[in-house]
Formats: sequence, structure tokens, C-alpha cells
Amino acid sequence: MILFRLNPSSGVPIYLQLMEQIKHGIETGALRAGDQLPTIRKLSEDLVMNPNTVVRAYRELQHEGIIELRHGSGAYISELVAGRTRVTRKAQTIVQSALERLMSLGLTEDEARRLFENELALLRAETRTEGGRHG
Amino acid sequence: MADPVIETQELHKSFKGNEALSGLNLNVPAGSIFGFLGRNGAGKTTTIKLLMGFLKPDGGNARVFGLPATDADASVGIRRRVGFVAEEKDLYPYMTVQQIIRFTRSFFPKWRDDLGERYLRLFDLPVSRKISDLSKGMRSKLMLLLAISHGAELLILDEPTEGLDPVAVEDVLRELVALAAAEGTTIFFSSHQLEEVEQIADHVCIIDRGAAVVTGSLDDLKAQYQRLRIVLAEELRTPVDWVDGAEHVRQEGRTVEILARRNVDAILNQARALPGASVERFPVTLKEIFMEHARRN
Amino acid sequence: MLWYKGWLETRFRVLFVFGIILFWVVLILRNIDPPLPRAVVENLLNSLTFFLLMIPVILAGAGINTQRILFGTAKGLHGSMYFTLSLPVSRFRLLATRAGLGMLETIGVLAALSCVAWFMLPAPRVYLTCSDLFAYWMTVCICISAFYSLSVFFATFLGDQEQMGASGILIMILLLISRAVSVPSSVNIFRAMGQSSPLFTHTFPWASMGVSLGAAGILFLAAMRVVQTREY
Repeated sequence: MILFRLNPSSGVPIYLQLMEQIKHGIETGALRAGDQLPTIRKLSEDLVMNPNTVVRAYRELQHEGIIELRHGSGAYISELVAGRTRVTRKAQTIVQSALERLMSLGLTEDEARRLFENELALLRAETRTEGGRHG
Repeated sequence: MADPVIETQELHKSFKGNEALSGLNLNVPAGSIFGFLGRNGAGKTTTIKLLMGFLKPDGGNARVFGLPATDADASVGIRRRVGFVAEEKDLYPYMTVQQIIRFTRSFFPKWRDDLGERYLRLFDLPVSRKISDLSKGMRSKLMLLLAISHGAELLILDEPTEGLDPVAVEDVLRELVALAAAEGTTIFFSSHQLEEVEQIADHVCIIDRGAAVVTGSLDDLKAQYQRLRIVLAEELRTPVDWVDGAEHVRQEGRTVEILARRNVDAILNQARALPGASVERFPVTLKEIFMEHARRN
Repeated sequence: MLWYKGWLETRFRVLFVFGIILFWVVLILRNIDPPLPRAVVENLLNSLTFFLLMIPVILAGAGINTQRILFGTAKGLHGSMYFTLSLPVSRFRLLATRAGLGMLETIGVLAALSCVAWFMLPAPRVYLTCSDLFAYWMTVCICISAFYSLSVFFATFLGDQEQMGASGILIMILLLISRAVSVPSSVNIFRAMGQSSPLFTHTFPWASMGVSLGAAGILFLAAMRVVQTREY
């Protein structure tokens, strides 16, 4: 299973890593709408990871509408994904122009990355506390 | 929700005045891969011996499959459904690999010949060699073969990958994961290898001085714990009264580092409110969580 | 397959003990040219008793802490008893199977020795009948059971290998005491295997046999108790 590479010690929950990598696969075109994903058993054996973790990742992705779990035959990339790709293309353009502007200010790659990650983290915290959920 | 496969309540055990277990509460869900972590002497092996009926507790109770692990007759029934690997990877030196497989097989009616064959080939164990002539690594693998092949519902493994080279470790982890996926076997294992635990476990318990200090699903723990690094415009004059959940606050000049165990978002907001603060957050690895508890004690 | 395991552990011991004692039996009894004064024969038989007592010591076991066979190196292997205890078998069954096997082997070795001695040496056939020998064999088996149980008892907390030294020494001490101090012959189990045995008296030393069985029973119960309450 050369598509996915997980890092158990990174601190990021493994199911999230798997989800990210499946989404990334879709964005890069390695996975297309209608493609079948490996069975839970095969994936957990190939990647040497907990099968319950695979189950969780697949369920969350189904919840987000990215994959479909067809009873008896397995997990498939959802047809809805095609629509997502359009949004992703748009977003890519926005990020590209933002980066061009940051670089013209004299920022390094690392500085730019840290800024993005910071803002994302703060955004996450804001939406959560506003939503009334406790961390 | 299904009943836990292993459950202990306020388990106490002392040896010659030394308290090995000081009120251990464990709850191992069915079908989980449960990592049992702790420093040497924290009480891991004592707990395992109690579950297997080698020892009797001084207080509290322990149940496996809902049966009392302390009752001798019930314990026989428990052991029929458990695959066990001891801390000492020792078997009978005078038997050959073939003989001990036949011997062990006779006690377990649900023995799986297909699994036994598969692991013999996978671990490359010479059938007619005497156990006394096997290397330590091969003995470990043989013990695993014996434990995994008898169709057990639960595996209790004490440091199963100890002494194995990295390739063998990966093989073992893969087989454990395959067993969990195919048969729904619950796997309870103790280990010092945090990376391995992080790789395959979905629940962990860190035991220290005979009691559980951290316990729960690994994903939840990783979501709960966060490391925050705050860089301020100038050094703090007065210490901040951090919200409950901020543990291990360290300050070096204008940088403050916090290990947040709960209420991460509240702490984050508190940090942002400080003058000139720039906050970064990092995920926490199992090793850091483990070291945090080891260091504190 | 506990019997199989026990057999693998003891088969060389059985051969060893049979060979060694046969050697001494032949050595001792070879030179009995009839007629010999009875006192001399009694003494010879008493030294034979000394060797026969080796049998239970070497063959006894408790089935739980079983490491080496006889002279093999342990190579750092200390923990196979955890494997044994992890089997779905009661501790009582572990003990009873191993102890039972050792006792059967002891009885077998004694029978084999008796038969071989009977056919190899001319002297016994002159003085004894087959039924005498048979009675002797039965007596020895029952009298030796007390010492066998003692060895099993030691094995429960010392380990099958290690008990040999302890029980061997204790039995020797008891033997020496019985010869130094005057013990009523009805209770003297050692004598029952020697001068008071059916070879001379042509009757069974019932009292000694009863004492031996009683002691064997008590010691076995004690062994059971140890095994069931012990923490490993």
C-alpha cells in the first residue's frame, strides 16, 4: 500500500493521519471517484495498524461524505468528491496568490508555514469556544 | 456496550512490605488492542500474574471474561481462553519445537492448525530442534506461536517483542493486528517500546507505583494533551494563575511552555491574552506523556 | 499430555537409576555363596536399602517447577513454570500427574531390579521362592512411598531438580538416626526394607507398612496444600 505512510509517533492521532492521506490522494488524483479502498483487514495488515483505527477513519470519511461504505463490498470513494475538487482548485489559487504576496514581503518558507499553522490553530480554538464545546 | 474483557477494581498487592499494586483500576474493552505501560517495577508483571492466577491479590478484585481471576476453578476456565506469553521467555529445554506444539495443542480444543503452520513458516522455526538450542529471539517467537495458535479470545502478552530484531518485531506486530482484524481477538500487552504501542494500540494505560495514572483511548489522549509554546514581548513579572489542566509550566526568559492535559482551548485563550503573546501548539507523543509521568514521580 | 511431559523429564533418570542400582546390587549380591550366616546377609540387605532409597529421591517431582532433566545446563532458563501454570490445568492435576508418574516409575524400577536380580544371581533362588520375592517387592514399594512423598513435598517449594539434594540428605540423616538410636522395629521403615522384610520373616511388616502409607498420605496432602496456596 504505497499510497499511505503513517507516523505513529508524530502525536497526531493515526486515524486523522489516514484520513488526511486519503483526502490528499483524492486531491492529487491518485484516488478517483468510484475507486475502491482496501478492506479494513488488508489495510491494517499492510500498514501494521490497529483495525479499529481504520474503522474510525473510514467512518469519519463516510460522515464527511468523502467515501461510501457499501455493505458487503467495501469502501469506495464517493462520487460527490468530483464537486470537492472544484473547491480545492479555487482554494489552491487563493493560497498561491497569498504566498506570492508574503514572499514579496521578504518572508522565508518556514516563517510563512508557521504563520499559517498558527492562524489555523487559533481559528480552531475560536470556533470551538464560540460553539461552547470544552477542549 | 459489551462487557470489558478484563476488569480490575482497587487491586492491591504487597510483597514483603513493598506495595506493588496500590489500588489498580483497569478496564479493557472487548476487541481492543490495549497497551499496558509503566516503568520497571511499576506493577505490570504483578498485574498480569494476578490476571493469570499465579498470584492472589491482597484486596480488590480482578475479572477476566466476567469470571473471578482469583478463584482457582474459574481461573482454569479463563486460561483455556487466553493466549499467554510470560516475561521470561522460557519453555521446556528438553522438548523440540514440534513436541511442545503437540504438547500445548492437547490442552486447547480450539487450536488452529492453520495459524500454527503459518507462524512456523513465518518465524522460520526449525521443527526438530531442541528448545535449549534455540536463540532467545526464536524462543520468543515460539512462545508467541503457542499463544496465538490456540484460538484464544484474549491474548495477555508480557513484553512480547523483547529481544527481537526490528524485522521480527514488525512481523509480530503485523500478525497481532491481523489477528485482531480477522478474529476480533482482544490483545492486552505490556511493553517498554512506546513506538510499538503507539503503532497498534487503541487504548493505553500507564501504571506508576501500582496505580493507573493515565488511562483511556489513545486517540482521546492525543486530543486531550497539547503542548503550547508562548513567546512574549517581555518576561513575565508575576506568575500566571493558569486554568486547571495546565501542567508542567516552564519558563525560560520570554518563552513559556505548557503541557496542557485538559481545557486546552481555555488555556490557549488565557495565553493569547498575555501582552505580546505569540502562541504555537504542538501535538504530544505518547513518549512525552509517559516521560511526563515518570519525571513527576 | 502431562504424562508425556513427565516421561520426557524422567526417562533418562529412570535408566540412570536402574543402571546404577543394578550395578551395586550385582556387586553386593554377587559374592553371596551359600551358605552365609544370616547376620551377614542382613547387613548386605541393609546396604541395599541405602541404594534403593535413591530411587524415590531421583524420580520424585511436583510437576510445576521443572527445569533441567538431570545434568543438563539451564542456560539461564528459569521461568518455564509460568508456561506450565498458564495451561488450563488445575495445580492439583499438575502435581498429581507428575507425582503419580514418578511413583509408577519407582514401582517399575523396583520390579525390574527384582526380576533381574532373581535371574542373574544364583543365591536368591536357593533361599527364596518367587512369592517371597514378590512380597519383598510389595513391601519395599509401600515402605518407600513415605520417602517418595517426602521428596514430592520438597519439590513443591524447591523445584523438581533441587529437591534431590534436600530430600536425599534428610533421608540419609533419618537412616543414620534409625541405626544409632533404637527405634521400635514395628515402626522402623528402614528395617522393614531390610531385616524385617519378607525375605527373612516371610511375613509382611504390617505396622511399618501402615506407618509408611500414613506418612506418605500426610506428606502428599501437605504437598497439595503448598501447591494450591503458593504464589509464583
